[in-house]
Amino acid sequence: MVTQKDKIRARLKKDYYSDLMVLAATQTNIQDNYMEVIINLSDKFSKILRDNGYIKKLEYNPKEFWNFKGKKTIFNIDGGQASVQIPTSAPFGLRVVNYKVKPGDKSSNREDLISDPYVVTDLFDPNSELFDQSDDDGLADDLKKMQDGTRIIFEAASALRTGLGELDWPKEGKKIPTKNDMIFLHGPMVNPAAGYEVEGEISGKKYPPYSLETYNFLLPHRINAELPEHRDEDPLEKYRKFIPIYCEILKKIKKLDVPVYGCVERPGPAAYGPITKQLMDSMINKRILKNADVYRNSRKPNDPDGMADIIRKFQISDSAFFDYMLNVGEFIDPQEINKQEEHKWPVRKWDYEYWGLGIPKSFSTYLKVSENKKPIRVETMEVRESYMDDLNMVFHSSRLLKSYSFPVGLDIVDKLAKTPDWMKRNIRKNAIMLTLRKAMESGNKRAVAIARKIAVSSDRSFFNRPKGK
Amino acid sequence: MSEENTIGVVVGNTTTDSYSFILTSMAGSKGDLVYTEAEIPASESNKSARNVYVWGRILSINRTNTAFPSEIAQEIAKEQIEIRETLASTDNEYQEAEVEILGQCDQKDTEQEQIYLKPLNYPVMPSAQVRTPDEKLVKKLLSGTSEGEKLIHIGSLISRKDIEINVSASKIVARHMAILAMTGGGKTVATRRIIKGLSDYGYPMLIFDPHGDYLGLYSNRDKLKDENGNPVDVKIFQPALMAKGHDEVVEMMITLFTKFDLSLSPAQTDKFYEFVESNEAKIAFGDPAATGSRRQYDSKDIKEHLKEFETIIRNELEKEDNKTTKRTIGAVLRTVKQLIREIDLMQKTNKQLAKRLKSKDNSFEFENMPNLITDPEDVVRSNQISIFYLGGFSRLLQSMIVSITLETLFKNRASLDDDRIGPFASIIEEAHNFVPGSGEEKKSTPSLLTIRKLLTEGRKFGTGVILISQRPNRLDETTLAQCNSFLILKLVNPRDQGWVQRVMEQMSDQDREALKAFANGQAFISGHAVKFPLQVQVKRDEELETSIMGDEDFINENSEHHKKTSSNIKKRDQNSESISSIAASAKKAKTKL
Ligand SMILES: Nc1ncnc2c1ncn2[C@@H]1O[C@H](COP(=O)(O)OP(=O)(O)OP(=O)(O)O)[C@@H](O)[C@H]1O
Ligand SMILES: [Mg+2]
Repeated sequence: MVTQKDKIRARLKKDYYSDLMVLAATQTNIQDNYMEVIINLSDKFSKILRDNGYIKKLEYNPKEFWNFKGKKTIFNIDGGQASVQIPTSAPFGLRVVNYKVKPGDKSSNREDLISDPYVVTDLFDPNSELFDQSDDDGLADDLKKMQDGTRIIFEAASALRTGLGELDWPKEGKKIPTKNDMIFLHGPMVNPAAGYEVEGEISGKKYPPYSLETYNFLLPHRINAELPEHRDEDPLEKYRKFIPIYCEILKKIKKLDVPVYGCVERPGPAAYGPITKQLMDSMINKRILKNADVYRNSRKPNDPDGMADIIRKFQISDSAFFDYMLNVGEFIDPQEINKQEEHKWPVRKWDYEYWGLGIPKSFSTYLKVSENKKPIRVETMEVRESYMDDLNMVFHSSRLLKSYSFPVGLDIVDKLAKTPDWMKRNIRKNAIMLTLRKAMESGNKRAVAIARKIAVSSDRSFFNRPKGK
Repeated sequence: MSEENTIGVVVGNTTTDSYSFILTSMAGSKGDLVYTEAEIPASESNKSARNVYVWGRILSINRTNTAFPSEIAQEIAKEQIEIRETLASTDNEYQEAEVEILGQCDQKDTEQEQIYLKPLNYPVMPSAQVRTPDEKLVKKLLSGTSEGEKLIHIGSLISRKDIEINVSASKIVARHMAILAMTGGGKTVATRRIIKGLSDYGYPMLIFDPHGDYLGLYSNRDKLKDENGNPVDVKIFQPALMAKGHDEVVEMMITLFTKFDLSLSPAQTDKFYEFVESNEAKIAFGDPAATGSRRQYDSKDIKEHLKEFETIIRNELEKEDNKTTKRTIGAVLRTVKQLIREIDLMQKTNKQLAKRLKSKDNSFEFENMPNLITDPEDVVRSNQISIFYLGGFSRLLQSMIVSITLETLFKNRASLDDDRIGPFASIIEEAHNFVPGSGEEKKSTPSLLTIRKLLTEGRKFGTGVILISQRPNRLDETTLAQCNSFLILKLVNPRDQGWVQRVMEQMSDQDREALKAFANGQAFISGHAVKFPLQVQVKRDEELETSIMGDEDFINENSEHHKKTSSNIKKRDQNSESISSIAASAKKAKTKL
């Protein structure tokens, strides 16, 4: 019989762990028993999880499963960035793709697609200064963050607008999804927010607020906003920023009838992942584990480590750890994770208690789709009755892409969101023009200089044309 | 210009030669003509800015179905799920088309009878709308290459059946054409279309037909009428190797000797030349310098010349007393007789094939080759198509026939003082046998130089040539380069494709790629005969085809054959059975003894 240990051993030999092992081996003095430790730990931990109902299982039954007769609508959302080659390396183009599909629908309305491009710098308040720079070096980083934050907000907003029935679908027009439908986001359901809003004591830099137009677009339900700050007809500039908007969008999404899930394809490299930690804490609370077995953390050099120490020392990430443990179709009972860590919350202005904890927590799980791929992370803000069925949709739609093991709907939007080359060129030209114009309007000499530098070095032919006669 | 016919939007970088656009509807396809509005800014040569239409042709369309992960197909097949039951997308794709710019015209020019394109020297604007012209506009664009041009209707645009495509008849006959395709690609069908088109103008044509593909024209000649309603005659000739005059006859004889590998010993060679140079031979072959040469212009089948030569040698043989010399003369005589036999054999085969054809279509009349020197108008005349049926002859003899026939006619046409025949077009099937590219074959192909001459002098004398071949890469490149128009049908061999692209100037990589996917009768046409390169569906003239030359029906032939012969065979089999049983018992009997 093949034991769980054998399976773990086999998985450890897979290509995608080799670099991890090399890394671990060079950083620890215990190369020799590295494998054995991981195998034993994973085996032990998975036994405990199984014994206590933390691992659940889905059956793969494609013929029975794919039988929706067009009665269920799945929305798939992803944003892509056009990484334009300008010296700052900041991408300017953004595209949000929303793919709506009704499996089993025989009509031409089965699929519908919205694919909207934006020029990021267009979305901000034109009256504020785009560059409030004390040094050139930070410019690239800041633009990049602005871009990332905007993408995150636009993806979430797309989910919200979908849920509220605000989207005007080319074929079906407006449609309010029900709890029977599903929305999928490519990426985490909840992101750490602090990094995208750096105005505050630490960086001293300031991002411009989003324009009123953008703001109203992102929060179409504003008069009924969850947070009273957004209900103002004439909103304060300060609330047209990442944290307040993101917080509102997520709160509203959580209230929607339709369940929304974020699927993460390549979980970050973080060793000692939050779900593992949450599971251990949960089991300590439930008196399944002894605190000392997890956090022994002894100062005495010869004492054995606790589980948490080993995981940290061996740099075992959530995705790797659960990959060792889970068999195809299995997933971890979703764990509530707070992504807004207080110690990373630098923004004094945005009170952590109110804004940081105001952002909903995510319930995260790992689902093993195929033997040869690491499990995928699935996040939602609320575990509902339909959770098992919904995960089954993730499972079955991921199985369609066996070697990829990711929901096919999200794979589709991912590809569509990758802005084609020709569009990048147009976006780039626009972006450069816009940057230059804004900089000039601001009257800030420094900003003008920077913008000119960008323009000149990136598109010589365009800006350095010989002067006409 | 309505908005309705907008099919896309120009994107990306544009040049004066090409641009790309994203199709916004599925209305565009490869080969389509499209246009965009553009403004050409004021310059020194143009006093004011002009609104123009920029015309182009879709070279390729890349479908990017980013939304259909191909991998999904496996799982769906394995689990037997219907794709529409899943989340997979079946209709999200975007298509980017590449357009080759053909030229521009003023927007107001579209109100004229015909549209003439001028080169574009300012690129189209990204974001401009791309449109498909309506039928009327395309007609204006495609009609004629210059005013008053005589046209041949070749077919329709592949992508738009409503748009008829014409080629210039005058350009084809003055500037030549090559029709190339793999076998079965539709060369003969296309050629027949052009023949039909030329016959509308009563243009004289010669067809060198090794397989009898064009005999259908004869059977259906009553359907051929010129544009004024006058009948067009079709004649089939049983070709012969005609030669006249001592030098020519001797040269041909020597060629035949070497080609048939009939070698003579040095002593025999001496004798041979002695006879060839004899007065008798000169008189027989027709030597202007020889006395009593009445027959200096008498062109005859080489076989007849050889027979006279045989008589001369035989006479010598009888006169000769020396035994050794007698033996030598005897050997020469045998060789000449063998040559006569070889030629005779081929003529017989040719006649046999002709007879066989005649048995299928009783109306076939095979005429003997006229004397082209004295009576060239028998084969070249208005409202007549002359088919030279070459079946049965070896490659060399076919080449010699073509060479001699065309050479004689060309001389006739080119000699100013004796301008007896008008311009004519020669249609040469299996052209790789007549203008081969490889050095080895070139030497043994006398027609090569003749055809080259017709091509180079064609403009001056109106000796147009249409070359047809299924082995393009075996054709002589120099000769092909003289062709100004090309009709390329399906070609799958990459070597042929590459070769064709090299010889033609106007073939893009995308056009080359398209060749292998062509269906029967779909073709790429370019050169002087059209305003610009196009992909056409060639019109088929079924009423001019004959069933007799279709694929040979061996299955039926076998059953016919079987009916006739089976009873005899059976009898013989029975006989042989009884004989062998007898033999067997005989053997046994023997052993008993
Ligand atoms: N323009 C056309 N329209 C419809 N069918 C066509 C067309 N051209 C060719 N075909 C079909 O393809 C067949 C072969 O055509 P054709 O005899 O012209 O080919 P080919 O290139 O001359 O072949 P080969 O090399 O054997 O002489 C025809 O019998 C006909 O069925
Ligand atoms: Mg043919």
